[in-house]
Amino acid sequence: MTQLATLSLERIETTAVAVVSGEIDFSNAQDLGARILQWVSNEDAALILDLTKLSYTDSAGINLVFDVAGRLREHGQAFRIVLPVDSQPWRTFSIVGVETQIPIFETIEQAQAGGDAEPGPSPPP
Amino acid sequence: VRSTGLGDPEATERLRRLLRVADVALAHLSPEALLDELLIRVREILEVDTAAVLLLDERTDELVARAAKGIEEEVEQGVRIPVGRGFAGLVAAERRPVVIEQVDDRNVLNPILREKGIRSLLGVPLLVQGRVLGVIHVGSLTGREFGDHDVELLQLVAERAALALHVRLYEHERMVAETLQRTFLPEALPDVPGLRLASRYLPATGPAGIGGDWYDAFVLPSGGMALAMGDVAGHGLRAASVMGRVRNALRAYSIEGDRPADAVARLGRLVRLFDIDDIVTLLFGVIDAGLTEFRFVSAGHPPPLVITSTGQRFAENGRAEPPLGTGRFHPFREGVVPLGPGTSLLLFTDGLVEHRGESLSVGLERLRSVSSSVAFAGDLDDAVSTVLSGMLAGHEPADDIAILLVHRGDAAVTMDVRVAAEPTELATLRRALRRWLADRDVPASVADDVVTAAGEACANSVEHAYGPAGGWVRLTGSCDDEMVEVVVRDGGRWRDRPSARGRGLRLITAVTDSVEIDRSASGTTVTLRRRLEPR
Repeated sequence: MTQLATLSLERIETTAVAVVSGEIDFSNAQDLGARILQWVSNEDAALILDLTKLSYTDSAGINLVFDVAGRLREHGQAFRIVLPVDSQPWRTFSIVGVETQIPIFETIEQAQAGGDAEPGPSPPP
Repeated sequence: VRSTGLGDPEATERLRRLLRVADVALAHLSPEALLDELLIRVREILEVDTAAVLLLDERTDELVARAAKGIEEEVEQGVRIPVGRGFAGLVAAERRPVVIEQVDDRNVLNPILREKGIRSLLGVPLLVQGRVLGVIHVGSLTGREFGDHDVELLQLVAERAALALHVRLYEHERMVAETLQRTFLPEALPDVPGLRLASRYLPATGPAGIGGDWYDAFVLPSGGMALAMGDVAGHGLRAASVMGRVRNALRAYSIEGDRPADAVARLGRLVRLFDIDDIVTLLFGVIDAGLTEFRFVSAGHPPPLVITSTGQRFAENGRAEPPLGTGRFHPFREGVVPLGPGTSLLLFTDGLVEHRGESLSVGLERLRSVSSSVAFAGDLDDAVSTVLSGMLAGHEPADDIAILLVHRGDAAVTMDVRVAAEPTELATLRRALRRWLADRDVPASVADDVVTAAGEACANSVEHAYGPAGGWVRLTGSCDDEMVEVVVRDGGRWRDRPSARGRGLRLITAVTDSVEIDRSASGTTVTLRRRLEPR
């Protein structure tokens, strides 16, 4: 079990929150994805994935968020990502247009407040 | 009453000579075999029916039967006699010869002796430097008066036996301690690109031998390098075993997080909780994955020596902390040493700097001055040897010495790292690449892009290039004023898998200025180029 990334799991009312810090790559992405999905219960309206402290991701991290998004969509649950602009993960995500399919917010507060918004075409400026 | 016929000085001299010969003949025997041989000779010379040796178990203060002739059951049944009780117990307690002319259940505790029909007994203590090692006794089935000469003869044997046993038991303990100690020192020092390490352990000469010094170096899950240098007071088996416990606990605590202060605070609690009352000093620190600094704490241990191009100094952490588990509980304060290219760290135990009748500060100053003329940029093992010979100056070490030397390599012009094609090695490659890019002063955002592209190419090799048998991935880099070039090679066959990794090539192309992929039968080479100006 690598500690390349650490995962902490919280819940704010009916929103599941997963905080990933460290790095995501081929070695840990699948495991992280499985643990995050396990945390989401049937009663949760949404999952917020907080990547504020993520310092690196490769395409395995992109696959991870698309997999999670797909599973949540099947269950009618919302999915939002918190990611500060200009970090390596943000630039990596924007190259393949993650934000066109999953709403990305700069802070966890914005992600919580943006709860009513439907997945939008682009992140807030 | 039978005469012994050995009461003349001539017989004593014969025995003396016999024992001298025996010394040589028995020199290579184990303690058990040695005792067996001695007892056989004693039975012949003293013409007795039984002979036995009991050795003192210091933990329980009991005599334990270890060898016997004529009454072998004594050993087989593991007879234990408390010191001070019974016949053998009396010999050990009073440290003098005891003769019993008529055995009965009041003067002999051991039922085997009575059942065998032993009528007379003579016992003498095995003494070394006033310390009781055990008891040797002989017995006769017929009533016999053991005279002064018998006592003298048995004492002569006891003297030889005690000396030989002492040396052997001590040697045995020393050997076990040495083996134990060796298993707790790292077999090989970890290999981290950008760092070089060398170490040495010297046991003390003379009776002290193996002590409780140890050092450790291992890579943490974060990619940081943990370095430990510790010293358990005392010598021998006990010090070595305490050292082993502390060393393993420190390893376990340190993988929980990267703060040395936390790991050492936990270790201190453990030492207190388990009543380890030996004095344990420890220097423990972590070099971060980016090789930018060494964060450390010291629990009563001499500070590390930091050697840079501008001189040598001892790193301070602002506060002298007591040895592990002895101080009131408070958080340890961490000291920080910036680790620029070319910096060396020397961790050591006090055996290196302490001379009798001299203050520690004099020894530390000597180390500083000896280090000023050592070439740390060259062969690191040679540097360790030079430090040692400079400090010992021809003397044998009176205390054991441990040294761990770490050198942060100069800023590399090019990079070349090769790892096993394992998913967990991807982080190793990225760290090496980040360090090299930082050393080359590549702007941060450009460095991020290069790591993104190279990381993706490496991941592709790990995921697709090899079958279950695995293989290798090599990452090389070069840089001029305008461009960074990174090449990722593997020795596998390109396998096009319709996985989601198709996004990988899109990422690589987006963050680089050119990508060349060369697929051949002998492997795949991906060459990435990126201009130095940020976008």
